[in-house]
Amino acid sequence: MSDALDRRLTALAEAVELAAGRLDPERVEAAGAIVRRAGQRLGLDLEATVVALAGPTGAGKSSLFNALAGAELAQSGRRRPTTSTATAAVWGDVGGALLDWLEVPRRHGVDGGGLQGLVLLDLPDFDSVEESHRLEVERVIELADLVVWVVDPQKYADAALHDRYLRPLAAYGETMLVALNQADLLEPAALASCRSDLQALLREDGLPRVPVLLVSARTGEGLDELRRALAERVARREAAVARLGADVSSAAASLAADCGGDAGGV
Amino acid sequence: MTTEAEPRDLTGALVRLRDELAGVQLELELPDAGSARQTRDELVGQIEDYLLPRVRQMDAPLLMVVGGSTGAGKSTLVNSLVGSSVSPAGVLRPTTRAPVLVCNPADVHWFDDSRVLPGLARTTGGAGAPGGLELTPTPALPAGLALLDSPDIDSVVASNRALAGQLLAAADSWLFVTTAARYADAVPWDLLHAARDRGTALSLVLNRVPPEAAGEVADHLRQMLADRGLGETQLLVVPETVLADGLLPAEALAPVREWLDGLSADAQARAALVGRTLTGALDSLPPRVAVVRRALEHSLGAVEELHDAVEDVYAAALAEVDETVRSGSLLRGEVLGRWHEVVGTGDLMRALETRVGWLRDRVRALVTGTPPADVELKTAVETSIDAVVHAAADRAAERAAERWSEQSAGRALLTRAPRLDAASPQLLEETADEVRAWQGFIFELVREEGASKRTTARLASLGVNGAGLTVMLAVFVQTGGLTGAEIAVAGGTSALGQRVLEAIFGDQAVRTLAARARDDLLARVERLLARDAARFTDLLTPLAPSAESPERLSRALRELERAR
Repeated sequence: MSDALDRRLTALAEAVELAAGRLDPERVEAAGAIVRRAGQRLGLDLEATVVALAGPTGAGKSSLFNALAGAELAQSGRRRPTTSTATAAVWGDVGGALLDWLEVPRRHGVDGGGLQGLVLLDLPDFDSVEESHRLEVERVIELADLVVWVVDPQKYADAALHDRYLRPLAAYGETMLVALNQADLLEPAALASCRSDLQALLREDGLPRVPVLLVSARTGEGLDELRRALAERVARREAAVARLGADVSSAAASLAADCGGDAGGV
Repeated sequence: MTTEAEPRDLTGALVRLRDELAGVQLELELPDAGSARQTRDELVGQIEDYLLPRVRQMDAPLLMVVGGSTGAGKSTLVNSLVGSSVSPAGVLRPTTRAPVLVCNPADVHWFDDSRVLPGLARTTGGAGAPGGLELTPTPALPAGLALLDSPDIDSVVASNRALAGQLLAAADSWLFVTTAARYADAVPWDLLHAARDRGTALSLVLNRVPPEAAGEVADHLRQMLADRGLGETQLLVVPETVLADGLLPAEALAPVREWLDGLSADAQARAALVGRTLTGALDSLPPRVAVVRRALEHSLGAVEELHDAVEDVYAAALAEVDETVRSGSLLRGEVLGRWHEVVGTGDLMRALETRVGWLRDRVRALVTGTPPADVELKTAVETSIDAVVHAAADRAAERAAERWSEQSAGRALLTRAPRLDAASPQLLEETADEVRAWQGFIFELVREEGASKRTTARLASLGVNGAGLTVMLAVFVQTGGLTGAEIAVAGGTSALGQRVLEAIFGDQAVRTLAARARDDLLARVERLLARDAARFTDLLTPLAPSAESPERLSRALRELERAR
């Protein structure tokens, strides 16, 4: 698995070198950044799975984070936006170097739930008046192995989510989940149609196979299912490699598009 | 369209400003063009949808536009205020697609024609289709105040966002709805800032507030409003509550109801709101028009720059061809070889070299005997000129494309026409035609010269064909006078004596004809290159704004200021 990734990374690094000065410098720089980042991530704890909770302000990221951790680690609140810096919950024995690389200063050790090896990150919002929050989110989702997009019935159709993040990240369908939080606010029938509307939007974004989980951090509804989905990925210990693979594919596609040819073997 | 030009006629001045703005060309892709285009369209829309109808009829009912985020509960709020389901609400975002205008039946006549929002077709009876405006008369709303439920400002449906912006610009007052989850979102604040900058009357509903958080959230929102210069804004708090038949219960709605009833009962307060927003909108025009004017000036500058670039490189190309022709360098290679064949080589020529008349005899023999050498010379001349023109045109196209791609407008234009960075594919054929026509011109010239008897006996003795060929060659050697080097080249291996060639090319008649022939050749090349250059300028011309348009905009604005 990782051998194949090594070969593809080497090919991409070569392509970046050849492309320098020939193709669009922005694309080349982005591909080069992916090569560097992949090199760093491969050198860190590959057994661990870094999962980021990202979403608009008020969707309940911190509440969901606390519910999954089983403790009040992140402050949730009514004042918007509530969270301004990332917090990590770490299940089991994960190398400190990985957490240093993620640059998440607030870390808490957590046990249980068959989630050994999980690093769960609670992120700030990306849609509030606080520009710095958006920048922090964009920094971390480039590093995370898996992103759980936390949305709610009010905000699931916002342009800020679909136009700025989901559509451009269409190549990363395998490395994301969507959690429709605050499910307790809707009647079952309304909730079902809300979910299918969200799935239709995801299809339009180019993400037809991304699972949509209905959860409520407040009532605990759907949390077991979300925990199972995470546990499965954590146990497979492949999330990091899968994410880097998606990185290489999208960088190769971007360079190829600029060449006017197709990516060939990369 | 009103066009009367009375000096203090505000309507006329607005119409003229709108027409000027609508005619503004900002199609060149400059860094500020996108936002300037948007400003232009917003200005045109606001003048048409709001300023003109409002100025024409100051006594029309107050139009309150209910706007806000997707899922904020705008439709539920409007339905609850009216007491029935006039605007479809639901859990699916975005819900409201065709905007619904609710007013007292007595006020319908203000809204059912195209007075306000002329671009939206009116519908009634709940058949609201996209692109339309659904009119819903109800006695539940007092006369003098109309509510317009607008689409979301932040959903993935781009047409919803655009329509919401248009409706908000048409409002006498905004009733902006946000929620406890949304009040810190960036998108609504962008719009609130726009309302502040345009002086639009504004009230804010904070909806869906969990009762236990009401104080904290409302305080925080008030603080945010104050921090952003909106401290005066009326804030109405509606708690999160269970809907009864899709409507908010009376006690949850009470703050909004009270405020609206107060406004309904007070004609003076309404007039004050209308006046405040109108003044604010008129005040906001000069700085926004200035944005358009600045972009227009940048655009004109870019047009000039791009034009100059094309003119420069093609002028350089013509100079290059001229220089090559004058330098005598065409008299090498193929042309030289053919020339040698015409004048002949070998013993015969050497024997004849002392006789001035050798060429006349030789050429006459060629003409009567019709050997192919002269035909080949003509062809060689043609091919050489073709090559020189084509190479110059190729370089010019490459340089022009290079100069254009140095700036964004030029880059965007280049993508519209493929393969502009090389000479046009038909240039070779066109050049061949022109050179043949030029050769025809030379023979015609020689023939005329012979007929007029002004020519010297020596030239006349060569016959039309021989004289023509000689003049053609003379074009290439006859520059700053005949140099030794040129003679050596022209003489080639035949080792023709200097005197022979001097006699031919030094002939005043030949020199005069050669000068005319060269001028004609360059005029033809200039036309050829101009056609190639037009591939660039033809892209530019239709997108170029008129040079007077910035001044016309400013004049329309000054006129408007005088009319206020």
